[in-house]
Amino acid sequence: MSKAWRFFICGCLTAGLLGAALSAVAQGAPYRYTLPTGWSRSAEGGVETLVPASEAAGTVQALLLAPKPLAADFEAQFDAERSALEAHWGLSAPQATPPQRGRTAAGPHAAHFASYASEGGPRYMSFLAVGRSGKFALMVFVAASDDAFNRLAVKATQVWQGLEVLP
Amino acid sequence: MNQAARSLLPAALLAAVLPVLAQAIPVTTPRLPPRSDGAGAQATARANPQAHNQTYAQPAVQLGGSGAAQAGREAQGSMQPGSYPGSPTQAGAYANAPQPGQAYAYAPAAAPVVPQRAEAGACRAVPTPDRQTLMLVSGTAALARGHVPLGEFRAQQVVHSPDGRWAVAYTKLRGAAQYAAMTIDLERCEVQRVLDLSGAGEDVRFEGDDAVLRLADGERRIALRDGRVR
Repeated sequence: MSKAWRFFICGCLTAGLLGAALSAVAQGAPYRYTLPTGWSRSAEGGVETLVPASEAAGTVQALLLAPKPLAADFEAQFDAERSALEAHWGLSAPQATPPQRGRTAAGPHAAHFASYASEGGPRYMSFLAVGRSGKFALMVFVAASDDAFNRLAVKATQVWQGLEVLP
Repeated sequence: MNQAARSLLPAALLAAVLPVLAQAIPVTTPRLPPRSDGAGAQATARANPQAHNQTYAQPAVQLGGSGAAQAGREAQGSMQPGSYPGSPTQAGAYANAPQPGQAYAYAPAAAPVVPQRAEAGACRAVPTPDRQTLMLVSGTAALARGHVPLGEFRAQQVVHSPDGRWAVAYTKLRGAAQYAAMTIDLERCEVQRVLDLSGAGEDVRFEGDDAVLRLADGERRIALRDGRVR
C-alpha cells in the first residue's frame, strides 16, 4: 500500500472518529459541538452545562443558553443579553478587555471577556455569542479564579468557535 | 490507482478544511489578571433595596430585598398601555408562544460557580429590557430562577401584591390591540395562568387571594389561589 493510500485511510478514520464524537454530543439539543477531552456535559431547563472534570466542583463551567431569535441588531442584542445576565447574577465592578466583534461568512459574532466582583467572590468570565440562521446563540464561561480562567477559557472559546446552531 | 489516489487527496483535504475555515471565528482568549478587590467589591453588589422598582431598562446592578418586601410596579419603560397603534387582532398568536411552564433558568441549580445560585423563597417578576421575557428572580441578589418567554407579546407592566405572594403581569401583542394578563404565584415562583383581556391593563388591586384587574374598559376579578376566573 502506498504512502498516499495509508495517509488517506488514516484521514478517513480520523474523520470518522471525529464524526462519532460529534454525534455523541447534543442529541436532540439545539447545538452541536465538540466536547473537550475531560469535560462532561449536562442539560437542564434549556441550558447545557459543560464542566471540566479536572477542576473542583463548582469552580469552572461553561453554559450554553438556549438560542433566541436573532434580532436585527446583533451587537445591541449581545449587549442587552450580557447586561441582563450581569444584573441577574449580581456582577459588579467589571474589568473587561477590549471587545472582539466581527462577522464571518457564517454570521456575526461577539466576545466579551471580563472579571467581576460578586457576592460569591470574584468571577472571571467569557460572554461569547454568534448569530446563525436567524438564531442568537450565547455561551457563558465562568471561573472562580483567574488561574482557572487562564487555563480553561481557551477551551470554552474553542467549543464556541466550533459551535453549530442546529435548525 | 496510486496515481488516482494522489490526485484525489488534495481535493479531499481541501473539502474537509474549507467548511472549517469558512466559519473560523477570529477571537483570541485573553488572560485575565487576578482581581484585587476581593470581598470589598462584594459590598458594591449590595444595592438599594428599592432598586428593582426602577425601570428594568436601566440595567445597572439591581439587587433588592426579599420578595415579600416588594410591592408596586416593575418596568413600564417607554411602552405604555395602548402605545401600539390598533390593528387587526392576531387571534391565537399567544398560543404559538412558548408556554409559561417552559421556563428555564439561566443558572442551573447544579451550577454553584455561576456567580451566585438563586435563593429559594418568594420570587419577583421582572421583565427583561426587551420586554419579551419575564424573569422570575429571588433572593437578595435578584438571581434568575425562571425565564418565561412571552412570544409575540410584550410585558407592559408587572404589579406585585403588597404581601409579596402574587404578581400580575400585563402583556400586549406586538402591533395589535390584543391584551393578556399573567398571574404569578411568587411563593412557588411559577406562572399560575394566562388570561386574555378585553382591554389594556391599567392597574391591579389585591384583595386577599383575589386580584381585581383594572382595565381600560372596566374591571375583572380573578381568584389567584385556585386560578378560577369569576
